[in-house]
Amino acid sequence: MKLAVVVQRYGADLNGGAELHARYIAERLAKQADVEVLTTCARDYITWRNELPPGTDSVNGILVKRFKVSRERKPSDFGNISDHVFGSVHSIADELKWLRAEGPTSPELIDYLHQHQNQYDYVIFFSYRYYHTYHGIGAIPKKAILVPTAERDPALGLAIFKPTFRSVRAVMYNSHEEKFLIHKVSENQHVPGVVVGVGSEVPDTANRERFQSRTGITGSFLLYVGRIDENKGCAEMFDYFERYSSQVSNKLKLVLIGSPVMTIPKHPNIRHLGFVTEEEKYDAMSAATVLLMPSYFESLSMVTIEAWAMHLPVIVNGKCDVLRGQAIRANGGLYYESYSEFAESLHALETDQDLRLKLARDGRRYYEHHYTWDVIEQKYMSMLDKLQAADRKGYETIPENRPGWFERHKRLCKPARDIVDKLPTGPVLDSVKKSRGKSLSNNP
Amino acid sequence: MSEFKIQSDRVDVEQIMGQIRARIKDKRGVDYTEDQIRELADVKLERFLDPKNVRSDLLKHYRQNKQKDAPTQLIRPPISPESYDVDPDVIYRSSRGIAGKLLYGLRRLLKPILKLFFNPDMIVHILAIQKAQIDWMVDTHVELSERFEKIATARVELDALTYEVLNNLVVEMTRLSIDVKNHKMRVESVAARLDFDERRARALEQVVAYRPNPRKSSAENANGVKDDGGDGSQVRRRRRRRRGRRRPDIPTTEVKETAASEPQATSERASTDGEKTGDSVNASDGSSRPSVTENSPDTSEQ
Repeated sequence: MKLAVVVQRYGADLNGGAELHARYIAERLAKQADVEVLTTCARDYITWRNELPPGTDSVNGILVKRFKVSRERKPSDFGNISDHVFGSVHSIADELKWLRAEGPTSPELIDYLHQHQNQYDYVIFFSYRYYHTYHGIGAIPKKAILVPTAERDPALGLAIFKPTFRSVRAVMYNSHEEKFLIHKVSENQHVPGVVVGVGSEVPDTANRERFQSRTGITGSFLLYVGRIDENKGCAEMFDYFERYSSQVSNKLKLVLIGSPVMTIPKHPNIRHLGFVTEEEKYDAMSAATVLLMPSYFESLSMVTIEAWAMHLPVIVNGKCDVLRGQAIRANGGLYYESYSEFAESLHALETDQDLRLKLARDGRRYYEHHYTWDVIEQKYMSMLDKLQAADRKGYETIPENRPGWFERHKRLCKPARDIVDKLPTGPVLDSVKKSRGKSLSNNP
Repeated sequence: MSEFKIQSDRVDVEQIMGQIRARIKDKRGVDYTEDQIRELADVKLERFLDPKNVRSDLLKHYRQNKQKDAPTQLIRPPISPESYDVDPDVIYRSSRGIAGKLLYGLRRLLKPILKLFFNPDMIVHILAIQKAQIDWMVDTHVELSERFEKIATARVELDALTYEVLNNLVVEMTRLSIDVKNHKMRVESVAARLDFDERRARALEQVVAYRPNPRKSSAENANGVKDDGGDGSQVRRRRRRRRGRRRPDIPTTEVKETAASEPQATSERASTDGEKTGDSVNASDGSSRPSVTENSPDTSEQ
């Protein structure tokens, strides 16, 4: 079986969520299939500037084909058109303009896919919201598998993505919440879908003492791993932590791992370690008391899963449906929606070792059941086998009508933000409610 | 903050969060989240605050007025025009090079003739005055613009601070109003409980007051006296008996004095007459409460 993975950026040193996800999946599937990666020459997700040479490349043994981006993103133009399509009544043409403004616009990549589609059995597209996914799926819907990596953001409410979700052969969801949202937005229940996520492999060599001797941090601490960004809820995290330190307990430290794109407040209990290696990250996890995940928008938190794999309980932002749903399903952490809940939950975790151990135990069990690579690979291969079986029986795609010129220019689309705001909120816990009392859920 | 303990072997995150929320609710009285408090502060102040004293839409008005008043762009001082000199020959000059010089010479030559028609010197003088006035106005305008810019900058900063303070005050005020409301409810609850307890105590006292004294009854039964059970009957009986025991040769006052000065004798008499003992104890106490009767040493000796 020959597979192509299409993603906006690709590289061993690129750590964006969807990009890393794509690389992991490509490398894992390469054990059981012939995998190629089709991507752009961009490295920077803000400008999509062509920084890598076009042509073929090899990353960790995977063949990578890079295509030039035809135009860089202009943040001001993108901001203006985003305000328009997210906040006011607009047309399909406006949305397509938004898609081009967002980038990475690479018609060469789409042309290549269209011309060489027969070389591949299936093409796995990552991230629904980009140019390559929309036009790539439009070019070869019969072979398209989508990994949407969708969050509750206004882009999900854009009308152009409805046919994208409906016309693919299969959707590999990251979480139940993501699946629910996409079903609500696009009514694509007829498309085969499975909640998979991404696997995680933690080393056995993680060492607490090594972390302590390297950093000099001893005692209990709260760990944050990721980009230190206001969009990731870090401003709220700092505010809550400072209040907690002054009002409840000043024994707990906050250790930050990741590149900062905002100012980190100067506080005696806050320590920033910067960008660290994987080994150092896992060492930190083995020494940490609790992992904190303050993000409001996540389609799947890989760090949270890694924490559970490392027997580390978590405390997550309950306003993010996905994180809250994961915490409840895994039984591996607490969540908060206000400072009071943050303080109480953190205090409970800080003071009750027994609770921490039980949450860590359940989190680890959840990881073993759902997020080891064997499980992930098996889910992907099972879906591919199903699609092949359907193809052998003569599968025919249901064509999604794309609007003509006049239809595209009618201002009939509602503001995307309004559509997303009206979607139901909260974690999807039906499977948990059904299975609680018997055993842990089999659904991630 | 009190300790949190999970007793069972299995944990349920939702259950734990339920407990945590219950604790927060207990502490705060009503389970308002931070967002809800902000929402209440923004929208529904009239429910909690006295609308006569505090405008419920204060923040909204403040924000609107602030936006209306705030200069969208600071007025920069205008660029002053190029300076020009006004001299007596300015009205005769020309800027056309050599031709202009010739023209200037011709005009100077014809100046005496021109003066026959009007006074060009006066025009030059007036022009000079106008120039001086315009220069002064431009200087003043520039200075005022700079001062205004400084004031406007300071005002914008001050407005931001004032708005923040006002916003915080309104939020805190709302929070306090909610607390007051909660406390009022608690006081009402405590008052209701107190009232109930008082009524209960009174009811219990009445029950005890009407309960027959088992010891007294048994003592009376032992002496072959039938117990009537009520205080009123005892008083009536005492009066009747006293009347019956009155001796014509001894005045009443003397009897009382004798009884008061000789308690021992009285008790001796009491030991021989059960009915009389009960009467005398009740009389000395001046009350018909059973507790006193029970605690009386005389009765207890019996």
